[in-house]
Amino acid sequence: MSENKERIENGSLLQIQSFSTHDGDGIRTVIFLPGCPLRCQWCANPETWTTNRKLAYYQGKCTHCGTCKSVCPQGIDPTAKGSRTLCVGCGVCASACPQEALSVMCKASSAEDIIKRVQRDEIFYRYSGGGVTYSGGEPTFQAEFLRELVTGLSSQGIDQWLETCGYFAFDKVSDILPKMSHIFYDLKVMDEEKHKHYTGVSNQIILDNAKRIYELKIPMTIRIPSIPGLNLTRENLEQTLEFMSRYLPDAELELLPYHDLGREKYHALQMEEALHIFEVPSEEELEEAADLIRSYGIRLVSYT
Amino acid sequence: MSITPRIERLRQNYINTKPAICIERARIYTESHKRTEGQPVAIRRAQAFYDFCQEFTVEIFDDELVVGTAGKFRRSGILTPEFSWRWVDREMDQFDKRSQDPYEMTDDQRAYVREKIFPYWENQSLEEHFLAQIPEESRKLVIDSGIIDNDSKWRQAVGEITPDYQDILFKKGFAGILEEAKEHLQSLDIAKPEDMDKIIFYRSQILISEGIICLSKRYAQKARTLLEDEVDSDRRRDLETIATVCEHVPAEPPTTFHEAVQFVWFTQLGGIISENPLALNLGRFDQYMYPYYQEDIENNRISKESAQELVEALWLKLSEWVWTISANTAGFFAGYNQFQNLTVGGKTRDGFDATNDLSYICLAATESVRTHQPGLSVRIHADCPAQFLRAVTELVRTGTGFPAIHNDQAGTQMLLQAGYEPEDARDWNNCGCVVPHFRKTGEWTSAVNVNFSAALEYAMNEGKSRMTGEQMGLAEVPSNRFATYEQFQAAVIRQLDNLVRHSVIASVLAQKLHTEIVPRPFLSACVEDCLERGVDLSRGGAHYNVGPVLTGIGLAVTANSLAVVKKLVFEEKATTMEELNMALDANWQGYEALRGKVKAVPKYGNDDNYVDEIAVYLSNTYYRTTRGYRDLFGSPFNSAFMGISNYIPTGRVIDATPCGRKAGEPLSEGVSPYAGSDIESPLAAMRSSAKVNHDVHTGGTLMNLRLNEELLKTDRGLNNLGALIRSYFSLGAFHVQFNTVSNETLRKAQKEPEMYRDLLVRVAGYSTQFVNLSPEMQEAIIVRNTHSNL
Repeated sequence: MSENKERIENGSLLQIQSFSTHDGDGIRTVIFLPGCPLRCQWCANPETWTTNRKLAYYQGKCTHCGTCKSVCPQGIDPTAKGSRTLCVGCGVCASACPQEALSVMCKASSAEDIIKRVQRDEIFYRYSGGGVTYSGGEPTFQAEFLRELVTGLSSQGIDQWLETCGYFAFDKVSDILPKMSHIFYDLKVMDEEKHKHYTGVSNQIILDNAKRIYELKIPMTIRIPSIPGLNLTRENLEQTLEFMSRYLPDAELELLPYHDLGREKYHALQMEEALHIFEVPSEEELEEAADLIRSYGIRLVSYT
Repeated sequence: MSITPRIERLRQNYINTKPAICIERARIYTESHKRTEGQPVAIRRAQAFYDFCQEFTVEIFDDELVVGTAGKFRRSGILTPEFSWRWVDREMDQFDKRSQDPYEMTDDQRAYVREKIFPYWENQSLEEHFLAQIPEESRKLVIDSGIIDNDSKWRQAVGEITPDYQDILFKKGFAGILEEAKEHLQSLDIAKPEDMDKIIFYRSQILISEGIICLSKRYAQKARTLLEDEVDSDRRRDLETIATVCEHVPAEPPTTFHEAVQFVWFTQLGGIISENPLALNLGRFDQYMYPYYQEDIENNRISKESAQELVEALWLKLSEWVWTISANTAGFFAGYNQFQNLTVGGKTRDGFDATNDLSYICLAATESVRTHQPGLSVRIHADCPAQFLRAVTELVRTGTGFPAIHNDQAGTQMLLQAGYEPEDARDWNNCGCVVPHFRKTGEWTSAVNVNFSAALEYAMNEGKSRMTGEQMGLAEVPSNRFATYEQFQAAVIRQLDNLVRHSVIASVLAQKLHTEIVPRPFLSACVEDCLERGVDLSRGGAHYNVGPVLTGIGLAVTANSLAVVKKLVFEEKATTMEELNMALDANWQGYEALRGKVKAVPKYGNDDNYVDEIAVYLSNTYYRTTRGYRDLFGSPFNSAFMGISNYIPTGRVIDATPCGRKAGEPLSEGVSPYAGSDIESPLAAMRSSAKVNHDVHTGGTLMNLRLNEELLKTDRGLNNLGALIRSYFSLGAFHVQFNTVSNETLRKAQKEPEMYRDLLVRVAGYSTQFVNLSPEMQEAIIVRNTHSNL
């Protein structure tokens, strides 16, 4: 690589996932961009909260051979509790681990490299009507980096969708949004106090941005990460549906049932203290919610 | 479409009946040969066929609509001692006990064949001639070695034929063939030496035509006999139809759809009796059957439902007979698989879309009867109806592994490159598993399996087998003397060339022996120009003679290993050839750190040119080498990267390989990535394998991919699968087949994580490698799958 011109690694990338069929139409490549202004208690992807490199340790695969400790430039034992405060996420231990029990999450990347990587999947978009979906974290958290990606891929005619929590300064991304052919938009809880409690931020900006995006006439799918007793309540659903009926009448709605499959990652990242477990919704509860949604004339969809 | 009660009963019978050996064919053939000693071999074989048709006790079983078996049992396997019998003698005591493809056989049967049949064939069989004549220097590489495997060409009949219904059988019937043979005979002069062989050939054609006609009429008679005692009015109607149909075909061209179906089965049966073949293909069934279907529908002689039932009855017939093979061969062709390929869809000879009602009926039949035969193949072209592609993806969803999906354009390209006329190249059908083929052809489409990884092993180990220490390949310098990667790669190619050379030696010898010992009078009648020229199929009588196909096994393992040597030994100098050799000798024991570095080297199947370029280089070089040799009829040999289960036995004889694979583990199949190494995505795996220049490998290329069941549950999922197929084919690839990943597979992955590293599961908003999840999480995924399966 030394003779290649230096790439500007000015963004952080969690991963690129090819052949995704649940994040929009057709066969899609999902670009996971870390960094998020929210701290939702139900989050299944805690590795995406910040953009910095972080080490994940999967205890189940570890044979305690000690290789990682012996190679660590910081002199720490990555498998030990509380060791992460000194860890810089250099990944030396992960490369050395014979069991693949360690890995580094979030890496500095250049937009140019990501675009090149996406181009390899382009043939699969053609027949499927697919493209790229930006996911996170919150993709707008790295607005500059996102802009670079969007500009590059737009110039190649690649279809782009966005998954967002809606918490961003609209003017900072107002040039990016119109380039999206569809936006997945979360309305997590309508009650402002609850929203603050469970996500760490007020939902005022989110509700305002939803209206502004809708005015841009970009097709929208509203998503609710559905948790019984929290937001899968009649009260919250009615508030959401009323908001949609009033401000986003043509938007569709998707319920994303809460799951606790993210647990493992909290342990791997030694973030157990941030882990909250909620109740998983039952088929009946979801069906009941679906009936309510239909009664409002809102189109209920599923991208699964 | 729901299955009829009759088909369900037939299906239950097929599922619950254990295959059994019937010795009638061997007995009648042997007795006949005793009576014809001194006669030309073609006459003796034709006479034996005729005698079987006369003597064999015909049975019509309950519920049958399509009739005829090659043995006494509904699921019979027959013996063909003229091809080989020593392995039967050696193995038959274990037939019912062996793990792969067991057969029932009684002690009385064993005693009879040992006393009355085998002694007659001592030193007479094809196998014994081959073993006596194979040159000493080829022997250790060729005979039961797993290095160069062509035993299906000297222990078995060749098969690998697609009877020509379009231009011969349905046009002439066997009565027509008989007449033609008689006419030819009249124009020949026994006083002319050049006519001698032709006279023999035409006499053989008369015998086999009379034989198969006689057999069918005996079934008609049997049906009439059964009618005498049958009281059930529905069954009486069936038996009356069977009697009428069998009276008429295959002597005469069929006049109804039912007759055409029975004609097809009698032709298969004739092929089975005459040589117990593999890959006796049904070709483009939806094309040649359609006129009969259409006419019956138009004249209200048949409903769509009854056509469906007849097709399903044929599917069961094709599945019931058993290809009797040795344990060794069963390792290569596992699952009682007879490789009777049947192709639907594609283009017409003029290049128009060819799909019709029958194409869909065939897909539906495979979905509802779930038999392992026929090997259902589809041809997908750029303008193929979306509805057809949808039907194909729906069949994929059932998880049967069918159909094998082929790129129409690539198949045509492969045939053009082999020298076919354009109309014929467009009219291709599949042979066996994934070989593009045309019905007017004599060809050994699976002549030899060539173990690529053996070439690698010999290059690294001074020409010796690492497992046995025996000198197997060309002498080679100690591996630490290779100064550059290029020198090492050249050594691998040298060893591979040597394996090709011995494959050619073994193939040409087998071809020559086939002309002398096992001419093919019955199948000669089914392939164009044999009758016109008066030349047997085994002697190159067919309209097209295409050279034998040498199938390369282990492309991915070999390319991955070369990449490791290139990167770790020569570029990064992270290890030496000596250390690598020691690690392989130790089967990686104690070299875990080195194996860890090996893991990080790019692997074929991840769209990484570092290693993909090596795979392409190997395959292109192999193509040029094989094309450089000529067969008995002057045709160039052909290359292929196809599958079957041959990557398992070929792996058994190869010690640990530099790619990290351990001793004895399977190699890789076709142009597929090594199991579990394509961790990037299915798209990347497709892009890698599409880089291999499919169109030059006339013998076919095979790609198997795992696909999570979950993807196929919704309409969106099926559309995406259709798009995936179209995308892959637009890259120029030839074939893809999907194994859907069920919970059963996930359980296997838990036990053998290394082999399933490619297996992706959707966790939530993202997918991840299943093997990387904790046991607890894996259970959660399995539980979720179970629920959504309800």
